[in-house]
Amino acid sequence: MDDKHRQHAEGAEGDKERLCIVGIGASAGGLEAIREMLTEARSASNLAYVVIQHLDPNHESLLAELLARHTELRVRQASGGEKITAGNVYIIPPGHGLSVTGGVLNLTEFAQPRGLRRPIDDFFESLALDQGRFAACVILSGTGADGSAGLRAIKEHGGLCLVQEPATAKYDGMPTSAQGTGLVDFVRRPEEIVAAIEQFYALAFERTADRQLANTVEAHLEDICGVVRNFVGHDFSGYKKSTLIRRVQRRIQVLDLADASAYLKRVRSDSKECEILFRELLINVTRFFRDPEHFERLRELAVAPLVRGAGNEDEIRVWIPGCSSGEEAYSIAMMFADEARQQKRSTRIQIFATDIDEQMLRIAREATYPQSALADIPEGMRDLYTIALDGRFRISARIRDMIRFSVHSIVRDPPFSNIDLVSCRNLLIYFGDQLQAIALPIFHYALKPGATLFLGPSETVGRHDHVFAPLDQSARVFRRNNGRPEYPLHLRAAQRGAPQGRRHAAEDSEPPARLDWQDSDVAERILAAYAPPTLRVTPRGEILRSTGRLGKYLEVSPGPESENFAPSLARSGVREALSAILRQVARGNKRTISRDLRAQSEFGVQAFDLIADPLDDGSILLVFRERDRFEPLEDDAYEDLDPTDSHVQSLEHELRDTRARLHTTVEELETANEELKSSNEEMMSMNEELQSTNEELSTVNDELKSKVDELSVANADLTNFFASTALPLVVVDSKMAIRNFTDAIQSIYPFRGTDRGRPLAEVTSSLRRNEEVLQAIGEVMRNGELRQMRVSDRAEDRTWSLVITPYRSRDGDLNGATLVFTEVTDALRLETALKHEGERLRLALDVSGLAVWECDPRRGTVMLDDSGCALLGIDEHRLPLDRMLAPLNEDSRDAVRHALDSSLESGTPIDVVARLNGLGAHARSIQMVGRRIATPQAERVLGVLFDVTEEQDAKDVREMMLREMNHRVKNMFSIISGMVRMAGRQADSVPDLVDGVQTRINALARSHDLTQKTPRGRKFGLEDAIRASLEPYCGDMDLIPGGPEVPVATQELTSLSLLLHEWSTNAAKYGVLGHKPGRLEVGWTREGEIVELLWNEIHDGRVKPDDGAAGFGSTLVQLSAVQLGGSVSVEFGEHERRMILRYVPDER
Amino acid sequence: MSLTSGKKTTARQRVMICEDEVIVAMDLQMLVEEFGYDVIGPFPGLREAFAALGSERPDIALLDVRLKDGEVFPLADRLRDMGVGLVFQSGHVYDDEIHAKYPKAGCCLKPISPAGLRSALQSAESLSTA
Repeated sequence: MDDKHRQHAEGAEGDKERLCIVGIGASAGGLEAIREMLTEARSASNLAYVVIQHLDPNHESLLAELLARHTELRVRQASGGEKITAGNVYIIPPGHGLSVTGGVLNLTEFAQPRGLRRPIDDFFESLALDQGRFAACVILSGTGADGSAGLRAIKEHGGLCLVQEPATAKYDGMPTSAQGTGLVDFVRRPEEIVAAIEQFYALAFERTADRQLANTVEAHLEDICGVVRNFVGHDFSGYKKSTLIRRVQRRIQVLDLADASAYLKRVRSDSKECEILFRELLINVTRFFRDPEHFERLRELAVAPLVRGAGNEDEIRVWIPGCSSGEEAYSIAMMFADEARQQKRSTRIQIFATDIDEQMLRIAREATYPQSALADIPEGMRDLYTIALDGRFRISARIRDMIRFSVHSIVRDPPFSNIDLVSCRNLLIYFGDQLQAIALPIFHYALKPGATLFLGPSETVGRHDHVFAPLDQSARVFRRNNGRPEYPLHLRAAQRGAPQGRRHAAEDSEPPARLDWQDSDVAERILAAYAPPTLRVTPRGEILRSTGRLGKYLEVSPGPESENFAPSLARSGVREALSAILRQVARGNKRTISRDLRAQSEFGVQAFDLIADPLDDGSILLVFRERDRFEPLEDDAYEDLDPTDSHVQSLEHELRDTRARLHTTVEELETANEELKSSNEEMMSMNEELQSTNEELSTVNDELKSKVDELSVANADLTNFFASTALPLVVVDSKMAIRNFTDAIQSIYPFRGTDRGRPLAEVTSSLRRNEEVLQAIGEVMRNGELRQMRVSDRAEDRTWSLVITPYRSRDGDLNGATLVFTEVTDALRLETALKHEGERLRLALDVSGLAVWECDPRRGTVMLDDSGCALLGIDEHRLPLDRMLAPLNEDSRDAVRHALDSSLESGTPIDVVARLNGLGAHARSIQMVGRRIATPQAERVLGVLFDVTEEQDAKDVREMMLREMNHRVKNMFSIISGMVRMAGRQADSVPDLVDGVQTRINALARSHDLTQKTPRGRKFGLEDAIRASLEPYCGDMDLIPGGPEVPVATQELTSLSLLLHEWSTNAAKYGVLGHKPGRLEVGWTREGEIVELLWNEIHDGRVKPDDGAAGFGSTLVQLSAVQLGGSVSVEFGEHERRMILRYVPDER
Repeated sequence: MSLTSGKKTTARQRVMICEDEVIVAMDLQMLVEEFGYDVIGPFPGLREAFAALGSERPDIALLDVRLKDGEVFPLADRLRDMGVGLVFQSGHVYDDEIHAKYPKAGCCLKPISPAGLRSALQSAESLSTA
């Protein structure tokens, strides 16, 4: 375990909402299990899921798509670099592995070939390192054992492990293998897994007082360790507290207990729990060649020199304490074997691998591991030292034989000695300082001077650096100094005195005993010089070891080394007995003695007894006990040929030959066998590969099955759509053959079911221009552009809008066309009617001079038609409101705006007369009428405009006329009132008054009449005025007024009429128009501007001049002349009385 | 040419009459003289009235709004500036304009009532700054 990572994980403990990452490992049959599991997952939790499924690297995965339909979580295929967040599911992409660092997913490339890949293990290991106790792993259906190693990592870092109940898995290989590690926290059905995870973490978080729990655990730790010590005999009290507390705490969470005291009770009462805790406390990750580069250094620094330096008789001794399930021990053994092979040396190597956990040792002795672990072994060693089994592999016997596994506690049991190499990896890190301080002196004692110590990557020799010098600090390879070994006295008596428990099995004591026997020089000496000579042989007679002087009994003859068989070497007299006794002992396995034998050599004869003692390991110990003194042979003492002896000898010789032949045959067989074995292995690996391919294929198959289901639904939908739609539709393929059509197409193409596949061109169509359609289809298929056209049937009764779309296959190739017909007959009819209506309306508008405008209040724009533009003098048809209002004068602008606003607000109809900007009388006026029209889309104001200039002008004129009229009437009243007043001053009598007033009014009325009676086109002239004045008096009188034409302005008329009236009445009363004889001449002349009117009364009698100034009439005349801007003078002749008016006529 | 009749006394106030209707002008002249004023005019048009102002200076002016040769306002302005009290004969048509331009001016409705005219002249007399 890596301390750094653990602290990282612990540091985040306070965080309640912390993300927990659940790794899900699955293989064949996994899709279903994952689906069932994730269906129960809720996106609101703080869990994120990463699915590692064995996938076919060459096949696109549909997993994400398929899972997304069954879970409310967001599912996506990882592409590397994602930050893992809660509520999401990340799926491994095909052809890659996944790892996690700092909560971010990374893609990894596989280093191993297919079949040896372990993506689940790899991911779990990185997850464990990254997330510590916030990592959970789930192992679901699948064959093989991927995940089991990763699970161990998760557990080591305090994470949670769950496994699908094997009975519910389609393939139970992976779940069973995982369960076999004994480290699984929960075994559940897939749908219960998420609940279990949530419960676990809920508990973990609920205890904000997590610390508090830790504290109670700490308080009870001593007691718990005591219980474990009493039960299994191993004392954990010296182990690192933090590790112990965390692991005990985990158990409390898994068991859902309240606190540590409850757990203590449980441990006391439940031996099974005690066992589980023991195992839990011992969890550590191990694998073959863990940290391969360190192993490489070790090989260079220690293994190679040891092998090189070893003599034939030397034994290289290696001790591996805390070997757990044996991977480390086998790794080192393989390394030694390989080194020896490369150096072509045969060296004897003894490896002692020890551990306190018997269960682990059992796994180690078994020496079979999941196929997946094979990848850890360097390739060169794989074939040499492993034998493939079904889904697993076994370490070959050669390696196995090098190792002795035994239960042994380095702190409690006496250590091994004379060791060349101690490899103790990742054990010290679990020890507290005190235990570490004990362990290192033990290693020092066990190691020979100059021997090597190999530690784990995060372990150091601490303060023992004076006895262990680093050979390679980073690889943790140390060299023991040459100091004298000191027996570690601290091997506590108290502990040794109470070796309780079942850990002290027979195997435990045997190796040390044997070691003592072998390693004592004294014993060696005794054996060599004083003890009877012995042989240790296999039941077949092969010599394993010998002591003492055996020259008398054995004959060393030059020959192949294989002639190492005791019976072959035995001298005559020994051989027969030897063969016989071996056979018997091998059969009966009892100590046997063969007495009174005589061994015959070149030098003499020795009488002896032969004792055969079967040993526990299957070998047989042969002891040659001398019975008599050696009898030397005389030179001349030849012995006769013993026929029997010679016969036996020849038989034996034959037997030996036969054996040799047999041996050769056996060897041949073995070679053949070896070959078969290797081809078998090849087959196995092929099988393995096939199996993983099969798994991947079955995943693909599952995915495809789901896809097919979906496709059938989609297809059914499509079929129903085709059958039910009223839309005529044809699909043609790239050769324009009919692929599919809807029933509604019958009105256009009379297809029958059998027409599918027929070229469209062959089918008769009701269309008028079918060729054009066919041509258009061709074009669409060539250029891939959508085409729209209008087609009608032969009778032109019905019309369709035809849309031809290119039909694209999934990869985007043009692969035909789709024809969709939409009947537009009614729409067309409507369109035509609408067009007519529009034309009619336009005509009406044009004739009436109405312009149409439309205001879009949201955009503030106005639309005008042509006449509107002409009216307003604007070019654009669509323009902002302000621009349209610009030609109006300011008042009108405001009025229009106001009217628009109120129309929009309350719907009041608009009716405004607006004046265009312009000068005075030339300004034109328009009337705007409009109304708000609310359509579902928006409100708008629609209305008409028309020119009202003339009406407006007429109105203005009328108003002016009325004013004038009013003025005149008032004036008239003034005149009359003045007239009456004046008459009143002047008249003598009422009739006189009435007469005066009436005649003057009449005169005025007459002249007024004149203005009205004057024919149009001719101006009222002076002559008219004179005629009118004289009319009442002259009647038929022949009076011809004469002179040039002088117009009389209206304002002059009153004055002129009054003046002429006075003159006339005067003439009528006193002059020629009355009773006096005479005549009247009226004439006028004009000189430049001045008009001179001559009123000449020619009397028959004499005229008596008067001043003419007297009287009202005269005043009136004078005043009238003034009003005319002129003057009046009176002249008298003998018979004439001439009145002359000079004035300038007003001709403006 | 003056139609002024009667003796002239320096003490008598002088009223300028502008009126283009002969009868009315004559009637006014008589009324004004009866009230004891001297009359300048009557003048039928602006031309004549302006010409008269060259030599005469009235105390009060009795003005018709529409004269022969246009509206009386240029003349009224001149008279106001000279400090002459103004009395308009109005036919309601120009009332607003008159009130706006000559707030102090008196007004007599057409047709004239002698009493109304008299009081209008009297109040104009008191306003006259001459």
